Amino acid sequence: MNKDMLIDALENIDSAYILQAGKSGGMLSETKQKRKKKALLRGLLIAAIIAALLVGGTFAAYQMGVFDDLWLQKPSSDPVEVVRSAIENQIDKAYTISVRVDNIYADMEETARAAAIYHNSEIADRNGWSEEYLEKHFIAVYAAYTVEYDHTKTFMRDGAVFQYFYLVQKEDGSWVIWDNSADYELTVPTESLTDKKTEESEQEEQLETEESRKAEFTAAEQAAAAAIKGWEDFEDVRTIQIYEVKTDVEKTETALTLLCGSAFAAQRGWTEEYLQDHMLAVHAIYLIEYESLEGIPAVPPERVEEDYYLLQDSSTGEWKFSEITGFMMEQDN
Amino acid sequence: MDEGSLTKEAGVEKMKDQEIVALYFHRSDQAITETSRKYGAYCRSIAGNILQNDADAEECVNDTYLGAWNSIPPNSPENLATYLGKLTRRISLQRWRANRSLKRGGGETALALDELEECIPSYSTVEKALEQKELAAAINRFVASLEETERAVFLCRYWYIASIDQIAVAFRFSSAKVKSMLYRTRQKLQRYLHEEEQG
Repeated sequence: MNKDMLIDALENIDSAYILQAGKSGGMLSETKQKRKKKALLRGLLIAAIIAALLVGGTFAAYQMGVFDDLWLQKPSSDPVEVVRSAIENQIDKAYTISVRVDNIYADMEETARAAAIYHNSEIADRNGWSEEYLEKHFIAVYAAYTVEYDHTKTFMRDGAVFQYFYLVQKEDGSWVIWDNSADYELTVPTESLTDKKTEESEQEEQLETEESRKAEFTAAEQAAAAAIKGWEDFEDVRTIQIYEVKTDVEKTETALTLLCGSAFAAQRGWTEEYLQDHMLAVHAIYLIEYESLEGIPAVPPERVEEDYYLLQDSSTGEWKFSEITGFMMEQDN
Repeated sequence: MDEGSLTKEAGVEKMKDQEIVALYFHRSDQAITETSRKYGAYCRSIAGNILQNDADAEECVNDTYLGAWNSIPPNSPENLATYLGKLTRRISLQRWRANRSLKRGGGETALALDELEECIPSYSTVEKALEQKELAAAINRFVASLEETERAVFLCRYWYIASIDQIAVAFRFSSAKVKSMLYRTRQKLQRYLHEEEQG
């Protein structure tokens, strides 16, 4: 028997199955064009990415050096200095023209808020973080900085950036960045960026919006990560190690632009308002290790980078993978 | 049958399959026009997937029409779509193999073939190998046993020779998930064929 025999033998599959597959796979669509998925716009640091949250194997990601690549951080006993060094060391990236830290401080309110979220979470369980550990060895640092990128080398958006950095303390007392949040420039007017203390009422409103958005981002990222991890149930998958799952605001906005007014959205009854409130794009990087089955060698591990589009069930608040992912892939073609 | 008869005429209502088959039986050139109008894109899609070359694919589609013209009658296909699809696939695979021998082959078909090679039981020998006819029947039984989505993904890849990315788009899956599904199905097929060989 050889592979040609197999592919020839497939010719005689029942017509009903061929038709069914043709319909499901779009082969019977007369407007169908040969599709080639363009390489998705990638890059570990896409500028307007918000709310990075490593879920599932997150600490492993740190240990594997993902954040070493992301942030060229210099371990220190002072968490603020770790963040400052990480930001300033962005200048060593080939695509960075200039970077300047404008404001930076440890934010205890954000520390408490984030610690409360992590407490008793799956992430905390995975990393063995007790409430006590989080109280003593976890901190949030706020940073405002201005960065300029070479746009011939990166898609990242530059200008004024506001971010929270989340750090954990190692046994030797040094702090390392474990996670970082959104680039808040998107939600904060440019004029106010360099003076965070002005116009308090506006600021409070903005913070509420940010908090709300961050919570949604977190929920969507967790849902995406859980779905990806769910693929471990496949017989041939040994493990899926998630490096990062990040909400991608730029891609969310691009999808909104493409979907609003489209027949695709109209057919599904998605209004612009619904999509604005209930759709998010996430960028996921993960490693799949396959299982050897009955003595058959496993296929080599595969590092995957994909964008997924999630929709939130407006009644339950649950985020799920949506068919918008396929729609957006088609737009890339 | 001039080339013009094969072009698609937008806005013209398509005939029912049995009406088209009747045109073949009446030896009317209109049969080709109607076939092209209704199934031209479908056939081009199959040929294009296999050959990855528009000119070759177009030739194979025209050969498909000729094949239909020569084989209907005596055949009277109940399902014209799959009849034409099978013809296109067979002709395109033949062309692909000819191209391969001329070192012009490759692409998705080579990849799909390489993937299918995994399904061949490693201890298979010429003597033990299933006859082509038995193999076809075994594969048909195997395909019938698959869950609907798994079957559709498997056939899109190995019948339509669609790329992983095409399938991912069509089924709204990630490409990793498609690869994983296909891998699992190939493993199942290998076990199934092994059991068939063991009798």
